[in-house]
Amino acid sequence: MMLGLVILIGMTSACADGQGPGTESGGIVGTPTPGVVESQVREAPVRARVSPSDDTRVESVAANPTSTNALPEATTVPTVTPRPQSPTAADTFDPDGLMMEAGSGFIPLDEPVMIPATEATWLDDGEIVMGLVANNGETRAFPVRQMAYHHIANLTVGGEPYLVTY
Amino acid sequence: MAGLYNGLFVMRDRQTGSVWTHYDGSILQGPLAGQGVKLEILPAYHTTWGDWRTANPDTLVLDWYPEFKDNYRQGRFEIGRAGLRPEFQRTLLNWDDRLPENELVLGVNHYGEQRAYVLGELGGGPVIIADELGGDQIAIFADPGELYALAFVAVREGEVLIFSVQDGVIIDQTGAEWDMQGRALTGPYSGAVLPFATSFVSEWYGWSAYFPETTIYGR
Repeated sequence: MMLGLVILIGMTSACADGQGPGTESGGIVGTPTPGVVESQVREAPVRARVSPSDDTRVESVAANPTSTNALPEATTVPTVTPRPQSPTAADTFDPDGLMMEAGSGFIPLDEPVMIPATEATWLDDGEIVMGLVANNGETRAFPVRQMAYHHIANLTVGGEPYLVTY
Repeated sequence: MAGLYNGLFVMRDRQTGSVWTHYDGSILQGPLAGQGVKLEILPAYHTTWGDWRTANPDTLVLDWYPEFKDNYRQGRFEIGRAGLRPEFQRTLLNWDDRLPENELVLGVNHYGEQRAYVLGELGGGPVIIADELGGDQIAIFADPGELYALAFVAVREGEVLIFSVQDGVIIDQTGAEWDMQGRALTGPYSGAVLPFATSFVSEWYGWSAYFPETTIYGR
């Protein structure tokens, strides 16, 4: 029985710094430019922290950047319009669906031992793993048949905290 | 693992005892609830070990802990096998019979819109599905035979990238090559990674319980 496959990072609060999404350290590389998602593309190995969950998008009213008919400067100032946000489980929380302690008794992993691929001789090529690409480009793999027991691995890569859950 | 909510695992942090769901990183109960605090979901590359280590030869992998060997599944873990344990079912707030409960889907949650892509209906080898979700052009990068799929935003500099697979290689309309992790290998964007559209592989019952409004690709 699978519970879903998720890798999460850090703890953030939307707009907590008052600067809006995408301004956290390690976040989006580059500054917003005309073209809605262009600024979300980042160079490897940096991995943005889930820019699609941002609640705003930057749009430009510049009709055609290559036009020789220069638009008044005011019309090229990017405007921020809200994008619809997906509801979270917290938004729709119903206590009837919560059963604490059910299924507990699993032992989570804290900073588990990670070994080179060549040493994992017990792992068959057909086994399913969850792969993580950290912000610093390093990679980690978690075999599902182990994570189906532990459910949680807390780990640090390149000084940043990651949470791998199953 | 602290319990279950809506058929899925919830966890507690040790500092505050707040209860979190890993399905979207939000907090259901406890001192941190109601403050908009949220963990951010990163891409989880759900695939075979052979595929992963070939694409990422420098990867490290979780060590084998002999003290838990009796708790680990033997052999290849059977993902998506039928059945739901009663305690999971009891906590479900929504039951959706559009698909079998254990059908493996890639769930994509992008700017207020959710869609499920049935892995078993996407084909055998590497495949790219172009779609529109949450107002963006997205691309599903999938290798269903490896149980791999993730979604990315398929736009660069205002231009929609159109991907195809030729002889097992992903290329865009300019002929530039990309890998399964959404990274450009050649061409003007070489080294760039497409923006992730929040997505992960899950069983249908959980996806549809958390996102009752979800659509299903192709239906």
